[in-house]
Amino acid sequence: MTTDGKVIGIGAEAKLYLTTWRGRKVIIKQRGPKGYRHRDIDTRLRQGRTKGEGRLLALARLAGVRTPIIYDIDIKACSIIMEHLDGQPLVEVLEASGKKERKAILRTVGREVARLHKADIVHGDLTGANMLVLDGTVQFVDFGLGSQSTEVEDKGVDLHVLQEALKAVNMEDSYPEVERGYLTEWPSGKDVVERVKEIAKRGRYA
Amino acid sequence: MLCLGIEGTAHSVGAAVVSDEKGRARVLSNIIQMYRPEDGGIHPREAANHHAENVVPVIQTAISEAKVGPSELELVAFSQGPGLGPCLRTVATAARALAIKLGIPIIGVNHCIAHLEIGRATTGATDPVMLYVSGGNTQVITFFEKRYRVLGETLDIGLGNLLDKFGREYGLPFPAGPALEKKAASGTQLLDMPYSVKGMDVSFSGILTAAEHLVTKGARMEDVCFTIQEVTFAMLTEVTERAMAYTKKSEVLLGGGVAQNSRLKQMVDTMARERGGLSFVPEGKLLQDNGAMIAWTGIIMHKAGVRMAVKDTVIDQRFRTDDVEVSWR
Repeated sequence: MTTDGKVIGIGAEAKLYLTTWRGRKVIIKQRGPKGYRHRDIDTRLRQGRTKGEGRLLALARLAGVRTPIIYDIDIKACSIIMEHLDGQPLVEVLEASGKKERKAILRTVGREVARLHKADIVHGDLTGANMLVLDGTVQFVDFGLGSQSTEVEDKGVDLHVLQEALKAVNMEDSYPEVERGYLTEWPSGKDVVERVKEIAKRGRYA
Repeated sequence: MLCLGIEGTAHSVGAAVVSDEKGRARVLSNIIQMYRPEDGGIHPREAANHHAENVVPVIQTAISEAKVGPSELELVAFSQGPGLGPCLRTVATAARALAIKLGIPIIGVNHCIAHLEIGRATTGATDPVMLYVSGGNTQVITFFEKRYRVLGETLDIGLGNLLDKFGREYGLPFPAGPALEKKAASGTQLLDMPYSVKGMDVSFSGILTAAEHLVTKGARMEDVCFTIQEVTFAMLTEVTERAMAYTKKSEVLLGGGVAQNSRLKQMVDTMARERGGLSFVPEGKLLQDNGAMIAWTGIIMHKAGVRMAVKDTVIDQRFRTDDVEVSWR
């Protein structure tokens, strides 16, 4: 698998390349080796996480949530070739929108997150750059910190990260719209919404 | 400015005289007296008794080693928290008595922040992400949005606590870190242990269970120690790197007694270099719980205008890092 192309993102554990593959515009996410850790731990983590992320991307699509289509996974090289999604980062869209429009978008965000949670998928990093908005639909990228979980706590933490991300851009007033969308899609997600309040009170990041 | 700092949050009581010379810390003395339980873990009351017996001689030694007269001291700083209540109260009482007797101001210092500030003052790090690993604390701290913030931490026990608990089971002397490091050096085989990282947080309790299980099943002690180090240090290095990426910082600073481990230092340094950054490690005595870091942090707080009356010096066992208003940066 090639990793030519333009580097468009460097995270703590992976690099993102924008390139073409079989005539398609794609993103390659590559988890490179870390020289600091024991080679066996390094291989196990990188391969396990590559597999896990591929699985989550696919499961999210099955749950009806828009995520990049996976074209190929190379477990040995720890890389995923996936669809390049058009769209604008959620933060930018929210900042450019009027109040009414913003509410509508956040309700959609809430609905889509509920779809993930209903399917026991936890994204793990619901920050502004990991949701892309295209023609009113919200798409999710980067499941690198994601997991499969049935725990209310994990889902609550997931939503709380989103709440904090809104707070960081002074839009915490609009968070109730996320809850509204979430509960419309998944009425029995009420305990998750309640848990978020408890998590916020613990005040780790306050 | 000449400051006497008194530390006593957990097993160690310490006193130091530090002077501020054009914004640089000069450690004139740094005396540490560690409480080592004969068997079992640290009993807070026993540790406090130890501190009560030793705090005066430790202060006296610190003052005489610094070659200053008590009347030359201009400030008393003490560790206000977080830590064990009885220990904190003992040291706070000593600090208050001394400040009143000498007629000089008193300042209570956050212990975790003091680890970071002494690192900044003595290593050349300017705006680091600190990996702070000791018996009770395991945190990733950095200055972010006007405060020192805990970006990641242990969800259960501190790493030092894990090492000590394991060490106690198998006859390693307290604190277990150094003995465990020695055994690990002749370990060769990586065994199976859970690697538990959640975002920027870590969890260690599963590792203790796994390690004990491996020993019961007859694994070599050297290999178990080796694996404990490889797995837990990799977890810590990973969350530290994530915090650096998140805050876009390139410096990493180590703090806490466990950071004296050479394998941990090596891992963090490799990580920093691979991402084009730098790692900094204070000298051994300044990594441990010590009075010098308290004295220095007291000085910079005082210079920034922080003043405390005796009634503001109540100890806080759960003193949060991000509760401190940082007026000196």
